[in-house]
Amino acid sequence: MIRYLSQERPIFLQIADMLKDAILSGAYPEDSQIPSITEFSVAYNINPATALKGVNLLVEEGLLYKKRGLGMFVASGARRQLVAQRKEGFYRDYIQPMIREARHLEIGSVELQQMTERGMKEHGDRNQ
Amino acid sequence: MGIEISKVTKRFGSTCALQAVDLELKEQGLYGLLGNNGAGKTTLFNVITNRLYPDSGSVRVDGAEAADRDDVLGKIYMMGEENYYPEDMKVRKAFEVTGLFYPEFNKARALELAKQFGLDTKKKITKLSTGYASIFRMILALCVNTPYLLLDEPVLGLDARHRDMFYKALIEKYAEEPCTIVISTHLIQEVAHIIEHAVVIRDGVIMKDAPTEALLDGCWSVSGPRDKVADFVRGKNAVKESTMGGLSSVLVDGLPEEIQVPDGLEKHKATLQDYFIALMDKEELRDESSRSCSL
Amino acid sequence: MNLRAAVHYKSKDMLKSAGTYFIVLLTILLAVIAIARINVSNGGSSYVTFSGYTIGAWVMMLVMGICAIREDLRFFIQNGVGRRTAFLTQWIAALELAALLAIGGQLFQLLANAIAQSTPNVRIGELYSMLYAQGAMSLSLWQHVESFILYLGFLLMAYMGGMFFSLLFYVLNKTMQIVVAVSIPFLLFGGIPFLWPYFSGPLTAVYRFCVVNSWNLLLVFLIVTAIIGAVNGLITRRIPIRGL
Repeated sequence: MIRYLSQERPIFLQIADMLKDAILSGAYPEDSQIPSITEFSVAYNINPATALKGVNLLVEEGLLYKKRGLGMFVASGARRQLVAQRKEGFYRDYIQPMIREARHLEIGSVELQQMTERGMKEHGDRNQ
Repeated sequence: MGIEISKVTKRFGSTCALQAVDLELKEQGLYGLLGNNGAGKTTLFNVITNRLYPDSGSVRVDGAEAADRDDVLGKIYMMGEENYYPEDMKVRKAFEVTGLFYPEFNKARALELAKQFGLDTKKKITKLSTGYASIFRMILALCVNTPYLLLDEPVLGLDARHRDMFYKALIEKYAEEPCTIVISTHLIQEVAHIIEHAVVIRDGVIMKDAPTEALLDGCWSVSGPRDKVADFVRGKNAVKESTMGGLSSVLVDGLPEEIQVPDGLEKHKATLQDYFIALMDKEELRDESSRSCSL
Repeated sequence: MNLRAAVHYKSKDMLKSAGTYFIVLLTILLAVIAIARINVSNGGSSYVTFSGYTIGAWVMMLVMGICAIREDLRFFIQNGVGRRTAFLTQWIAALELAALLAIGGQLFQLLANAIAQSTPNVRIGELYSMLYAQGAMSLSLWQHVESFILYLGFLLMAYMGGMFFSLLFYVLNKTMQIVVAVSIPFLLFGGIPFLWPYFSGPLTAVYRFCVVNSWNLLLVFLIVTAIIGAVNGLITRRIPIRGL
């Protein structure tokens, strides 16, 4: 879970990404408490305000909630929300460019579906 | 209310260590005082804590002048580079005695940190190695709990492991008990993600004084084939260029955050250290003016 | 003012120092008496006068004065205590130590007197008794009080004197330090005899004044202490505090 921070992207966004990955993977289950701001900032050697900014991003998106006196908890339904978010991102970042490229190469709809199924079988079909 | 430093000037013989320094350190903030050796960092700290009197200018802490007022001086704690404790005082005794003067001193935490760092509390302070003398002073600073904390080159003499431990202890302290902390250092990149505000000092003059985010906003390092880079950089604020044969890399300031670079060029966000070095190099190229308090 | 904490810190040291001194002097006295006894039993009859306590106490205060100020200024500023408080603490600590040594001096005299009854060729003298009681070994209560107060002035003067030299050397640069260091013995051995004719008048007057009674001498001590103390205060006010 502890990765090195990259220089390229604002750190608070990287923290937010890391939290979202952890929720998706189940490392931070729903309705469980996540580590404190102090723990995050110490682990990543960053200013607590930066860690807080990253956490607050998720609070704004409704993925985390604060329990007074206790700390931050993962909201129920957060996983579902994130999957939906990521699915939308998947469509935008992968499907759309793929279709553009397919058009370029004059690959039709049927051929595209066949290619997709082939890929699914090769990688072991996980869902349906 | 904070610490207000107004037009502080300090001369040592013919050298001007501080030139009309204006600086405001707000309540609760993590500042980095960045500069090379001899830039005036220690002198500034010494003036703030009344170890030295400035030749002109004033220092006010929460509105009151610090000079020789115990109630004000007691709000600031400085971790210096030198030992200010009596010859034969042992570490343990120092911990006890500090509690006399600083009622908020957390002795339990100090002993905990001493154990963590491997500091022998039964040893005499003057008999500690350079590294452990630093660790001793650092532990006191982290446990004293004053509203203002000045750390002068806190990791001097510390090995990599202890440096890492120090930064972690510092962040933990700042997260749990926010206050104003000023770290003076020439190890820029180590503190880059920890400090909120960068104060760059060179030859006694404050060159930059801004939140690190603002300082690095729009600051990119663009690299690739020399000609292409030159084309891209033309008309923009190029701070520093380094070349290696046909390749060059330029630090450019003032670009919009979402700037796209043409094919063949790479862009990387400038680090605080890149920025600092570029700034220093730029200043070096200017005419050498003597440090004689011209202002 | 963090005066309380500062004084508390120094008082412990002072108590320890005074205690150590007393024990050391007592040991020396017993040694002197033992030697004197051996002398007598070997047929000697010379008198031995022991005035070590007074001289020793004076030297001790001088040395404390020299050592304390720089160490204390550093230590105190590190702990958020300013120059003014540090200087005031010097006075209080010096007074404390002087009082302890002065009481010790009276006890010493009493003890020495008791012991020396059995060793008649040993005379124990101290400041007051030697100057104003013709070297009498046993003093009245009032004489003890006078002796105590005289000690205070005497020792305080030593402390301030020590502090002065320490501060002087702290403030002067290398060249001036050498100049001062050289000129002290020069003044003592060369200058004073040379200048004596010019100062003998007023100095003799002062001497006559002091010899009258201990209160006059005390006054002189206090005046000297006040002057040196004031100079020390002025120096301390703006002195830069550096590390070791």
